[in-house]
Amino acid sequence: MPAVVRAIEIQAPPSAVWKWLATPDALRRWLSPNLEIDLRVGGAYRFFNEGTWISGAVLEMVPESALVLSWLEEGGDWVHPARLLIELAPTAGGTRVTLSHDGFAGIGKAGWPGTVQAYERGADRHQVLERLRDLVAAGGA
Amino acid sequence: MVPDPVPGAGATDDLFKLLADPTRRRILDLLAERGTLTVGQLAAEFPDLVPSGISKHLMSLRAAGLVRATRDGRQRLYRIDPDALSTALVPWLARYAPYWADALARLRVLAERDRERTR
Repeated sequence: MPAVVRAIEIQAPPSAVWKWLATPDALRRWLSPNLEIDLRVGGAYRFFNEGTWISGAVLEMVPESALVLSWLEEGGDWVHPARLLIELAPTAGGTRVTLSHDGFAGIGKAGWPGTVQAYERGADRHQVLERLRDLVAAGGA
Repeated sequence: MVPDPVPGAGATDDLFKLLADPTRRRILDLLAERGTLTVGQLAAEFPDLVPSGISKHLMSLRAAGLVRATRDGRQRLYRIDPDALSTALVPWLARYAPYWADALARLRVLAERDRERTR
């Protein structure tokens, strides 16, 4: 069961809200100014959040309804694998936007295999970064 | 004794360390897919590992509360406890709550401003 982190009511229809999820520029305006994202299913993204680089891939993208990202924290000995779900639902007054995370709680549910694959890819990528760091440290100064 | 700076953070770290192991993740996947399994049924999925190794993994998953065991005659049936997984994630999720509150507030301002413009 995803853990709902936060939900908000917006006085605009889902089509108007989705515009702010539909392009990298729009996402940078509210999600994070340093976001880099290849906005299609399977595309990679990365941004800086609360002192940590977050990276992953776009797992689902359903216009006016949902954007789902795998969520990997870089920089530790291992990464925290999870999903970030941004879901839009029409309401009488506009749109309800829900942000939620599911980590290993997503095991066995639709989309979970994609999370595992994204996690494995992320873990691989992080090892590449560690190797790069080690090379720089060995050759540096 | 030095207290944890963030209550429950240690437990979450332990959880993620536990789940960093691919065999334990695979065990959880199998239990999630099939409902309940015996040690023998699980061991059959891991031909490269000895059954006692699978038992050890199950013991650590049980100790963390992620897997429950029930007795059925002479054998034990293992099943996943999804609530334990959700609960264990709460302290980790709490770190992001203020950030998400700000992000959603920004989204609302942007989307509602559009609407006023087109009126």
